[in-house]
Amino acid sequence: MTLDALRIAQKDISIELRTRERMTSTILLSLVIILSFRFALFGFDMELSENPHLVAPILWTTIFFAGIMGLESSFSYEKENKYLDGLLLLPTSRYSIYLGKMLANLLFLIVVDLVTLVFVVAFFAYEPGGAFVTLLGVILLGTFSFVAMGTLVSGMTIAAKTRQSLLQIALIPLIVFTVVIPAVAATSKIVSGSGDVMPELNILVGFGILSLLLAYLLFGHIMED
Amino acid sequence: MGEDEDSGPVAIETRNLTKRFGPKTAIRNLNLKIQHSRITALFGPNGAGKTTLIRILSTLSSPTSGRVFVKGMDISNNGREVRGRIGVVLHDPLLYDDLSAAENLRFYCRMFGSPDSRVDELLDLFGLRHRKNDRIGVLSSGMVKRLSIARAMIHDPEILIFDEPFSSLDSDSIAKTMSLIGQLRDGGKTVLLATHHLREGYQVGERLLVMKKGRVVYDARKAETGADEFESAYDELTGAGS
Amino acid sequence: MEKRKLIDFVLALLAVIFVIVTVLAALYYAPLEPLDVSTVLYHQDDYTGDDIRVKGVVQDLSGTEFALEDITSAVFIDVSYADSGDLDAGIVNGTTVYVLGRLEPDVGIAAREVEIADDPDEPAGWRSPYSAKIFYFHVPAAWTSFLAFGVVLVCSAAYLWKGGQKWDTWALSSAEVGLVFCSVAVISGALWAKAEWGYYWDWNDTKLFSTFVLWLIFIAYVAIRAGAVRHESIPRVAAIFGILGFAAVPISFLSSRIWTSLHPNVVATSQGHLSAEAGAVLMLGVVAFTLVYATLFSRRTAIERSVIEIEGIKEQLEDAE
Repeated sequence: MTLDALRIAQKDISIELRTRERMTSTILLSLVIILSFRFALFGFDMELSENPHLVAPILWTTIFFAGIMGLESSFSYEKENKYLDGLLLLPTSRYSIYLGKMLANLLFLIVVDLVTLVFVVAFFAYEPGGAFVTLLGVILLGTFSFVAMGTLVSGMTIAAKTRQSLLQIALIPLIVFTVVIPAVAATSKIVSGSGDVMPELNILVGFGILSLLLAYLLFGHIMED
Repeated sequence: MGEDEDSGPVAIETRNLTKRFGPKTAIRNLNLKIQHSRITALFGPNGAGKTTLIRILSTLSSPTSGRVFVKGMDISNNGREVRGRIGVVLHDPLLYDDLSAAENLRFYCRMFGSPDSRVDELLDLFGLRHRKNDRIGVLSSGMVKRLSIARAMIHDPEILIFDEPFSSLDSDSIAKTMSLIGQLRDGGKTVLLATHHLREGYQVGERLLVMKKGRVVYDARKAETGADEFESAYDELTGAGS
Repeated sequence: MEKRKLIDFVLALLAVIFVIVTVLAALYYAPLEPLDVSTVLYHQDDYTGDDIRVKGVVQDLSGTEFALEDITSAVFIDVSYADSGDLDAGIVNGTTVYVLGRLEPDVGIAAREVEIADDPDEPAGWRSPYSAKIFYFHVPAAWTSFLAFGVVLVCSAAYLWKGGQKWDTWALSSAEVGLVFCSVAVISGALWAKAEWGYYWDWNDTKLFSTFVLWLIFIAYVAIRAGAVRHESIPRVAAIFGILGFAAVPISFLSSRIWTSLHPNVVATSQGHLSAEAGAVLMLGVVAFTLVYATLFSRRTAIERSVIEIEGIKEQLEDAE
């Protein structure tokens, strides 16, 4: 199961390395969102080093929105080009397909995270300093939790054969309390240098694992006609 | 319903198989046995339920009611094993445009647990070795079709299922595909093919089935049925001739 | 068929009667200020009496004005209106003044000796003549939407478990009707909050937030199904989403409790000790709204059945060709 998942992830990554379509468009979107924040806050003369409470919302809003676009293309690439049946015909469990997609998405989004962080540092003169490692840890766990549920819901919106752009509507309400708020809260604490982030990290990890479990139970149902 | 006097081991069996999509019934209470090591050709107009049947047999779709056995295994709880025993060629090639022929086959090869040497073996068999490093996107449709058959044969399955193998192919490729299907049968494989190409299907098939509105309405052995006889029977059943 | 029509008719009739009775009871019978009710109380430890200046006039519901200087103790219910310094509404209950408005460091509301309530359970009265009226519709609407979404959960699970068109029809119908009630609950809740707290929404309140999220989830549920064909994988995906959506509610509640506990200056409770009359009117409202739900649900399933029947007939016609 794990090996199959890794092979599917590897396939996704090698396609991405060849085309670079998803990565380019997602990073561009991330840049556009960050720049929008930058321009919107222009008149307020807001350097994040002086307004550190803005780091967390700006960073995560960008990650979530750029990330949703990345997640959406994960299955829609297979579906629109009619490759999905090929995956479904593999002698592996449906859950392996989910896991493979999840891993590829995770890796993909981690790259997007890092680039977004660079954008935040560059455009808002924010300096993480000594909190850098903890910040990375929170970003990784938040992304894991986001991707675990996001891949499941993105599989659902593809299976439902609905029009595009339904993923935001379907995904965001499911993760408001369990990913969005804890991730932003933990990041805020790190940036302001106060408070223990363990409770938030527990929620993020717990919900990520719960999502994997739900996918295990439900993904087979989602992927059959 | 047809006579099952063709005895012998059964490769695929459906029992009271019904598939509904909401109010639409695609397959109605189908009882069918597909014999081993034989080519069964399934005909029928659009919407007859051929593709639905093939998707159910290949575990892409689940029955509304009834059961399906492949090599004696109930597909509803042996999906993985069944997928490991069947090779399925759908209308879509299921090959990634952005990867090369060899890369595509290697991916499927590993997923099916076959040795990597199988890739070159199949590329040789299908005469595509010289194009192995070309992206699927630049290959001709005939080549892609052959590759998609190679993909389905990657794990040397006992049962091969084809959905519309002759569509969107030129006559040369059709002939090649037909001779390939013949070779498969001679190699002891069970072949089920769904097509609306009457002539080609008749030529290659040994057992002829016609589906209409989710039912099998015609079942005959080619040995006992002439081509003209079959075609007129088909026209009469499906109303295509009138 | 006839029996079904009869049931529909009786349901609709009962629903109308109960709604009328509830409206009348809420307007004329229910007490204006059920003083036993303790509503959401916020207390902010950051402020002490010394920092607060006296401004404005406090009026009780009968219109009697009280000079704030005369008041010896005050309970700050909530804090707003930093700029105007005027009080929107407030009632004086003995020596306790209940004040609406957001307290800001510089401008605010106060009394000579301000006592900030430590006990959030301390009973408080309604602070606006409108809020009680809204309350009698808000609570039943919220209850009915939870009932409806519960039905979605059960029917979705049954659909996945057993299959069968009727489960899907029921889940879809209940979700759509539930969404209407949830909208009523969210909007009336916002109006209530405006009348009672002085602003429409408080994102720090777990209950408000999670109800809002539930509302979004079922908007997504209906969006997934809207315009989609009524077969293939939609019902199954919708059923899974229905289950996930309902599961999101307790998860939301749980996680936000952990989250809230990190912000100890925000305390929200909303337990009520209703007077007998108010309780009776509320029960009446719940029954009335449940009947309205049952009527709409029944009509909606009838529509869905007709759609399916028509599609079946279409298919038969195609077959006959």
